[in-house]
Amino acid sequence: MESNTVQSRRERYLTFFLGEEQYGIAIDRIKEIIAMMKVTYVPKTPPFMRGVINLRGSIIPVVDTRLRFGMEPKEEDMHTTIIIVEVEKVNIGFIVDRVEEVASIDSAHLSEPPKFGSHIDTDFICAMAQIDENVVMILDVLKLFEADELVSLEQIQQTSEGE
Amino acid sequence: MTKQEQVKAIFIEEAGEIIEKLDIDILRFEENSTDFDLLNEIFRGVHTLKGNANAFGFTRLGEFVHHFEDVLDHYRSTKEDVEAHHLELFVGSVDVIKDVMTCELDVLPDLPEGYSECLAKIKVLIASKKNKPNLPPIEEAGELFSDLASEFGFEPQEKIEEAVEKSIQSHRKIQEDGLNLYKIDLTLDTDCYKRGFDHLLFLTLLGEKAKSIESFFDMKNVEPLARFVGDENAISNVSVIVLTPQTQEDIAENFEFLFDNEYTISLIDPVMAEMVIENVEVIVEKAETLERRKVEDRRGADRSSDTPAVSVTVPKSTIRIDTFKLDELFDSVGELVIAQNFIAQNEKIRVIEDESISRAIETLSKITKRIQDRVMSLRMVAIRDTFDKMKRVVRDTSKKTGKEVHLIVQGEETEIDKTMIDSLSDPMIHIIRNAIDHGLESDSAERILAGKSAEGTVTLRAYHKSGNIVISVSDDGRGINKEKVLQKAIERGVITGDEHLTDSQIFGLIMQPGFSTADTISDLSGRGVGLDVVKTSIEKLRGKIEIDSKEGVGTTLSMVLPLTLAIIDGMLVQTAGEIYIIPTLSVVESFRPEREIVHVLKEKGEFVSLRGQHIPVVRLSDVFELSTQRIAPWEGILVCVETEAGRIAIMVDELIGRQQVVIKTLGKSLARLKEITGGAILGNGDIALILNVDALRPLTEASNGGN
Repeated sequence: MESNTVQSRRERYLTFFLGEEQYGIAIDRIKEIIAMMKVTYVPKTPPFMRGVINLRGSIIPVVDTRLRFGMEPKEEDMHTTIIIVEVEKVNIGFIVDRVEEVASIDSAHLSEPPKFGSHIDTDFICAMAQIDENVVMILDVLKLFEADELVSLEQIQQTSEGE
Repeated sequence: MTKQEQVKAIFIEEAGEIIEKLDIDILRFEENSTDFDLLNEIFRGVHTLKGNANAFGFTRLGEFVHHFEDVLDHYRSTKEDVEAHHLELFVGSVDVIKDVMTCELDVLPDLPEGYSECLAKIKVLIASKKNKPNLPPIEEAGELFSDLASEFGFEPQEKIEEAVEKSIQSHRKIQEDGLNLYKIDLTLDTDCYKRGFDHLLFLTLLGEKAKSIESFFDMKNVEPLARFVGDENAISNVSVIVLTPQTQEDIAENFEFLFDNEYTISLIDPVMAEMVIENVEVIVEKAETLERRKVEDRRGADRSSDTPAVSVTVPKSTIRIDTFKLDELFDSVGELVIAQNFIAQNEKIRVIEDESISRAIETLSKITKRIQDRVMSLRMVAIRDTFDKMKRVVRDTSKKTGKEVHLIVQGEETEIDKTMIDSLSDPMIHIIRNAIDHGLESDSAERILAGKSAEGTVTLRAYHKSGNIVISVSDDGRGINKEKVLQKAIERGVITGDEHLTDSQIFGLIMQPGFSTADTISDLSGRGVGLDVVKTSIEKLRGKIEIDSKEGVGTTLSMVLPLTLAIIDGMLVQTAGEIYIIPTLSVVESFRPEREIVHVLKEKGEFVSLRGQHIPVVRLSDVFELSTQRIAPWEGILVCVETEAGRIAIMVDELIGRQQVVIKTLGKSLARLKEITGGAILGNGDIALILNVDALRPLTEASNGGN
């Protein structure tokens, strides 16, 4: 994230809304954007883990981003979208209210995130940017992944050995 | 990875394969030390290994292999019987080669144990053999070489020119109208094999049309086998006499890729045919022999490659594929199957009553099925190689324990998922060692007394059984003493002693971790040492172990494995509107219980009585905290499953069916859910979760022994 502020070059971000707030994810992390689809509930998971979807034969876990960030749940509508994010060949879907646009943001315009004042856990925010009138919070996908994916390395290794 | 490293990696892989093969071949040779084809095979492996080792600076390996090769070469060329103690040395040498290879790979400075000793023995052996009068290999070669020599008309005593002259004359004798007699001289360079030519190729081409063909190889530059370089042509001159209806141009076409100076074709004028030579039939016969020889060559290149006269290597039509790529292909095919199912089951498409559409869908589904089957078969390999490795294990264990063991192998051709094979070796080694070490009687007198042959028998079997693959190891030893097992289990607190255990449950106890201590009873003979490890590794492959034993008769340990890791046979059940899959392998039975056999015990939960056993009822909806209307067990369905902790009855709302499903992982974040092993995509595109029955427990931690 430091590199974003040091070098001045334009990066592209997919921006989306959760309620009134706009967020961005670096475009190279995004695998695809799909409309809301049937999610199979997986028992014994935290409430924000909505379940799994069948993305053309692959089973991908889907996180309700609102619940993940401690926001109120919201009824699905025609704008509800799943953003499939890929990090190191692992895919996770994030359910968001509405996808906005792909914005080019000059890295010089990125600033340190505030320590408070947002609805969400600021840990996941790596930078803030101004697009027109709106402030966009750039999410640190790796941190999101670490929180949701690499819960316990030991356990993961144990379970994945059998695959 | 640099190019050099890549090449090195290929070498290492290849060397590993060669060594593995050596290991197996040397044992086969030990069994039948007169099989010289096999010895040749071993020699070739060692030879290749030597070349490769030296090329990559593995000098210690190179040095050892070099001397070992000399020894093999001696026996191979003299066809001398290999003495028993030398056989032992051979087997030992292969062990040393294995160890040196490891040393070289790990760049260890030390030589492995036994290296120097073994090398010294080999050197002594060579020296002792070299002192005996010895003819150069080619001249004194046995049948194989002399056969070939006569086939190709090469007789060392005779000058080639004379032989050619003779041949010309004898061919004239049988020359008919329309046939031309040619003399073709080939002078191929040493590098001709690398350019893709060899003499036999031309002979084959000519032979297709020829009535008779005879060739003369100038062997004077051919090195003895020990120094023979396989990929270089040492035969500089070859003369071919061919009687054929072809014109000179036709003949020349065969050689059009050679340089002009490498061949001459001369027509021998029939008018000059004056001399009368006998032996006509012999020549015709020779042409036939060549024809046969060609056929043989196509069948297997192995014989030709160790004769200097011909060097044809028929390329094996296999390619190596990264298993990762196969997995990707498999995944894609999985998607294809699902997409196809989606079309086939789509309501909107189904309402179209058009024959051409339904036929197209049917064709699509057939093709998809075929592709799926073929892709599946790509991953399948015969279990033969693993079984071959086990022969070594049996031999070594037998020597170590001093017990005579006869190994019977059945069903070697049974195919099994490649990824599974790799993880099967270790458990199998363990089980076989156990069978010999502890299963078989240590005293042959004891065996004879029991009416068995002095030699113990271990049987290795692989076969299909109701959609699974079973690999079993049986011994005809003394069997498992049930009483002792029970006694020991109670001692160790594994069981309380009140349980009504079936035989298989009792035998299953020996695989409990509690049994795998060094402190073992003699009659039980330590079975169970590490068997829990075997059990765990088999369970990782989604398989299970079954033990069957009769006291005094023997024990059979069977590993029951799914056909592949990717697919399981599942029972689809429904509860609270969600579909779950229970692996059929663990299902014992499913039923709707009578009201009378369901009991509710205070503090202990619900039980169902089944043939004297009280089986705890596990409500899936409770375990998974699903909100649903609570129904009585007799209104739902109980699926009785075998788990690590004994039987449980999983209560669900409904049975949906049984189907083969492709197991998919849920991603790492969900992998920590111990109750669920993965997911599967159903025909309609929905996901169903696959249950791990071993992790399901009644919510109130009830013991399964209550009454």
